[in-house]
Amino acid sequence: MTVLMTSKLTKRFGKFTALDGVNMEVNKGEVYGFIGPNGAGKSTTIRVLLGILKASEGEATIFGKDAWNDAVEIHKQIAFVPGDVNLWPNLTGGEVIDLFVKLRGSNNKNRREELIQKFDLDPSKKCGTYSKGNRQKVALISAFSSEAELYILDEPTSGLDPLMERIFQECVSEAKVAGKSVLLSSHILSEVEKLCDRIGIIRQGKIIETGTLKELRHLTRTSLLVETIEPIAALNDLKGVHDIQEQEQALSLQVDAEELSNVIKHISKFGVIKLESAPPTLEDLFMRHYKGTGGTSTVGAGGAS
Amino acid sequence: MPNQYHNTGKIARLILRQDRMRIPLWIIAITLVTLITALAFLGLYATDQERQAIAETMNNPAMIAMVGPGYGLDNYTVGAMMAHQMLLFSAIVVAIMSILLVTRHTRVDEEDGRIEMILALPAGRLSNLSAVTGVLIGTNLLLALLVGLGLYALAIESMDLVGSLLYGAALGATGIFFAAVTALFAQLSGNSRGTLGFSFMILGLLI
Ligand SMILES: Nc1ncnc2c1ncn2[C@@H]1O[C@H](COP(=O)(O)OP(=O)(O)OP(=O)(O)O)[C@@H](O)[C@H]1O
Ligand SMILES: [Mg+2]
Repeated sequence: MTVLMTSKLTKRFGKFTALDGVNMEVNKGEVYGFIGPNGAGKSTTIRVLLGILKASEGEATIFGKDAWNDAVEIHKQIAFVPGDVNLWPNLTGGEVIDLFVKLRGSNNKNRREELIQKFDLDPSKKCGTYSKGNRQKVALISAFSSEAELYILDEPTSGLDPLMERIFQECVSEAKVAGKSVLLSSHILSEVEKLCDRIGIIRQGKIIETGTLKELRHLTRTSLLVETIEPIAALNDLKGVHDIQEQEQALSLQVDAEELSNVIKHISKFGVIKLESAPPTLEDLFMRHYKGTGGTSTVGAGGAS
Repeated sequence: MPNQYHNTGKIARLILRQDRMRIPLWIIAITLVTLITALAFLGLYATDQERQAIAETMNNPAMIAMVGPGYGLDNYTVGAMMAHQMLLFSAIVVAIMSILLVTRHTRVDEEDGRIEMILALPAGRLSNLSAVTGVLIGTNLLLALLVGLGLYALAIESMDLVGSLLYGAALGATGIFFAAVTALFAQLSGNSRGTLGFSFMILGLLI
């Protein structure tokens, strides 16, 4: 079941087109990773989805309702955490959490206490005295203690220490187990890799790639580290081999996914002593998109859809 | 669309909570200064002769430039003195209070991203603006009442209940007017400095 959908979503600020026909779909029970370089349009997409900005063209719906016209109805069932949480300096963290709970109308008191403990927040301090990470925690606690169906998180862990980052990841996993949906925009690729079922990559206002991590990996290269008895001949001439580098006795190289078996066959003729293979990290995959090389043409060749 | 105003009451309470010191301080300060000035006039110019004497000195270009042309100078009672020398000055202070409070809860909050947090919750698009306006109307009404009743309570001969309340009402109306002007400019101008600038410009033009 589709929880969130945009279709041909376009947003212009004056002459500048920030979103250029974004199509995106998040299903129930799914964690959707939303990644892309700075200024790609992630936050703008999220603002349109939250009914804060009005789309210039196209459609954005959540729970089948229009993101702009039915914003109040929709917001009763969603929780939002921005990347830069600004609070009311002379209210305490606890008061702000209470405020959000009151405005939302749903509350889970035990869950709230549990999260305050877990995130190690002192709710009696004034927000003006909180560090960036602590302000982030206030927003996270109020989001995850609400009975939301959909969590919209825009770089929610910016400023959190690694321990807290881990707690955050637990919260997302628990939400997922409970059948909730999550839209997670993030620059922390390991986080996305760990949490997300599906990923959408946006660049310059266009979604240039969507799919599961597996599907996306399919389009990219595997890193190999080989050590052979005899030197490997004619490696350079093989199709799909890149970035050959000598490392002491071994050789490191990258191989296109579709040529992997051919390359392995070739290498095995030279007496393999050691063979290590590492799946492409999201980072490898991502860097190509960030830099604007590779990109859509390889997608066509890979044909993963 | 009634949804545009969803949760206005709760947001108004949030504003009051943030300003639980600020608003009372403004109200108390303005009221006290008004009352103390009235008492001071009473003490300074105890007799009719003294008051008429000061009325004469008001009749020159320098004083007219400062406090405006005198009215009621031929029977210059404490009430007339207040209306003449004090009302304009207090009205400016009340206007400043309204401008600062409205800007603080509209543009400044928006620039800091707090409005975004509220908008992502089940709150209408106009809820914040209407909450701020409501709080400011309440603040100014309370101020009008306190100043009016306070002046009346001083039991100065020349200031009856109607006159005192009218004095308070003049201040309250000024405050509400400038709250509305600022709320408008908060929508029209791009940032809080613009909002403050335009609002103070209107204040300068009208006074
Ligand atoms: N209100 C606005 N007026 C004009 N341009 C805007 C506005 N908001 C965003 N933009 C522009 O739209 C583009 C997309 O911005 P957006 O904030 O969505 O990027 P992002 O993907 O969230 O980036 P980041 O990773 O840095 O958070 C940027 O070029 C930005 O300058
Ligand atoms: Mg962003």
